[in-house]
Amino acid sequence: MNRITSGTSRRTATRLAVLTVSGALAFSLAACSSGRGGDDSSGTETSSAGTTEVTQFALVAPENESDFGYNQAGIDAANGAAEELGIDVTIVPDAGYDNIETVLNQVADGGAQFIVAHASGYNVGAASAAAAKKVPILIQDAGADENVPGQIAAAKPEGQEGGYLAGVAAAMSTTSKKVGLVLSADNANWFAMSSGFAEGVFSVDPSIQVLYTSVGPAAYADAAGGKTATEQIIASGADVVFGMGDGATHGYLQAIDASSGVKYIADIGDVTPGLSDPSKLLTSVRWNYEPAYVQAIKDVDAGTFGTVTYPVDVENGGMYLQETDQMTPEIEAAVEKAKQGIIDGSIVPTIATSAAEVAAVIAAKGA
Amino acid sequence: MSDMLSAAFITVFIATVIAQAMPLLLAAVGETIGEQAGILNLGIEGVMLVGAYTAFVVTLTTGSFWLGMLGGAIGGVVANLAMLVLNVWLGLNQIVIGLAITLIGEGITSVLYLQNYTKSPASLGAQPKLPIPGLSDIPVIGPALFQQSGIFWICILLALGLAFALARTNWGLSTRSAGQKPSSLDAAGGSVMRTRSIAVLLSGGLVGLGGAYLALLTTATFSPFLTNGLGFIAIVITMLSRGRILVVMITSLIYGLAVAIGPALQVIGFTVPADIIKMLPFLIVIVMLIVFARSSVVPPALGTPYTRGAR
Repeated sequence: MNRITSGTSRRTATRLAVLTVSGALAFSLAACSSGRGGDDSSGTETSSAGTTEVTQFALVAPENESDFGYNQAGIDAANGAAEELGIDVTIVPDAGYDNIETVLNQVADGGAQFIVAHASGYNVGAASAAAAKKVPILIQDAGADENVPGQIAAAKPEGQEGGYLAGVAAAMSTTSKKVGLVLSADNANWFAMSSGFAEGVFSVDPSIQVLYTSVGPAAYADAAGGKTATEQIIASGADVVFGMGDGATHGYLQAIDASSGVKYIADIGDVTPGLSDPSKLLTSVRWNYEPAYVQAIKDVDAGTFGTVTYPVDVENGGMYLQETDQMTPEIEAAVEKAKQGIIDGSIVPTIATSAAEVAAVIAAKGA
Repeated sequence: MSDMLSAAFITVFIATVIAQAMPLLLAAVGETIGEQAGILNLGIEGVMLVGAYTAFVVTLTTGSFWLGMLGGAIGGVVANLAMLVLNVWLGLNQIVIGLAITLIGEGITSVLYLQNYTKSPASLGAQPKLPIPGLSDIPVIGPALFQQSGIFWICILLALGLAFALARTNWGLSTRSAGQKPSSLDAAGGSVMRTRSIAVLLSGGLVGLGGAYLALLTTATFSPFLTNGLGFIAIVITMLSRGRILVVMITSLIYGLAVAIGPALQVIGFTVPADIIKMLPFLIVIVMLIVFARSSVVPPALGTPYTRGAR
């Protein structure tokens, strides 16, 4: 072993090692590049904004469908919209948040005539890509003032409405009179869902305690932190937990799995495959983007894209509670009544935009 | 607020502190052995991830947490082979190699996880507990401390055994010599290369074990970038602990406390910004650095490749 550390042999061995490592890295990079390129296989024609008839579109998401949540909902909706309209879709998952403008430009160059940029963190990059490539892009959670005819329009989930329905279901299920909220990030949609949830709980019983905890400001994928937060909220007595998180949901589910007598309310996607005992799932506030995507694509075809915002709400079926065996007829009846109240405008849940505002709603106890 | 501080809540809080501290403890013990031998491994973030992913896959495949932990340790050893060959044997720069190991570990585990588990995400469930008769019945502390899994106790015994071996055995003396003054070890008839090679491999095994503990017991699943900077915190703790594994154990528990206290404060009614919660463990490490930095002593030959006869 010592001989190799001195003289010509050592230098030769060093060079060989460097060459080997460099070769391996180059091979890996080449493999990665070809993988991404494979996603862009269909179509080469670059569309322009306006009255182009969309025959293929793309969805770019920061994570993948295994998050049981936001990314799963977007990907499922894109596949559903493609099937409904009989057009092609390219899914680009795990795009992360870095250099997203480049990713969107590449997707546009790959032939997508319409792109869903499935994260509010993509909005700035999407605006630049839409202007540069003349491809209409659907962004997330933006106001109508960000719409640009022919280029940019937003899908806007009304999370407070779904949260309200979940709150009604939670209040009717809890026996400990304590329910919990776990968020993995400071996210506008989740704050809105949380305030709606608290108001839904208090609409049934103002004496119920709503506990709140956050994993981190942007801990979307922090499974370990999610497990810790959920374990503590369960230990403090909550027997119904409403969890909001992407990859952090894995941690929530581990804590729920290890507990007894605790029901879980998921958000956005279907978490049933992630639970060893599916009966622990009370329901999930499902988000269905398909109506929004279908309408947006039709508007691109008609040349009216960018003139309206596309709501994802209770009224258009974009937001609803997942049916499970744990949703008793009494709970379903109460949820249906609340749903009608939201649709007719007699119930208008508060839209919180920060943790402090959620705390204020919880402190107000529905007053 | 007071009604929140129930026995069950405090029990879970203590258990959380331990669960968060253990991966850091194992990784920092591994790094301590490496540093005492003169090897500064900045790649332990990547090594932990390789250990975590390997343990996750082995446990999913075999259904055995014990085999998973073994797989994690082997994964860590394999990941540290790069440090062994490129630094110990070939004398290349430790910092560059360490950073490369981190990046490669993060990349490989993310790609493999996304390739294999995207469509069918998997969870591991809970490791069976091993209650210690009598002690596990003590209120509050009993369930938190004495109803841990067998793996927990093995890891604690391993850390204590290595603390003894590093301080009181010939192997420990050789290891410390390789970091203090390798030429003396060489002159005394010891092999610096062999000593450092053993230290690097042992270090990799322990760091891999830390990653495995994080995936199998702390989180009970794997996700890309699961370690979230834990490897770098282990490096800081190792440097502050001056090679004393008992100090590593205490500082790891302080870290666990910092992680657990954020959600706990929120649950009992304090409105704590999420940024503070996420920042708290790192903030405490920085404070410890400021307070103890003057007393931190690293081996003189740390980071220096050994070449026989070189001046």
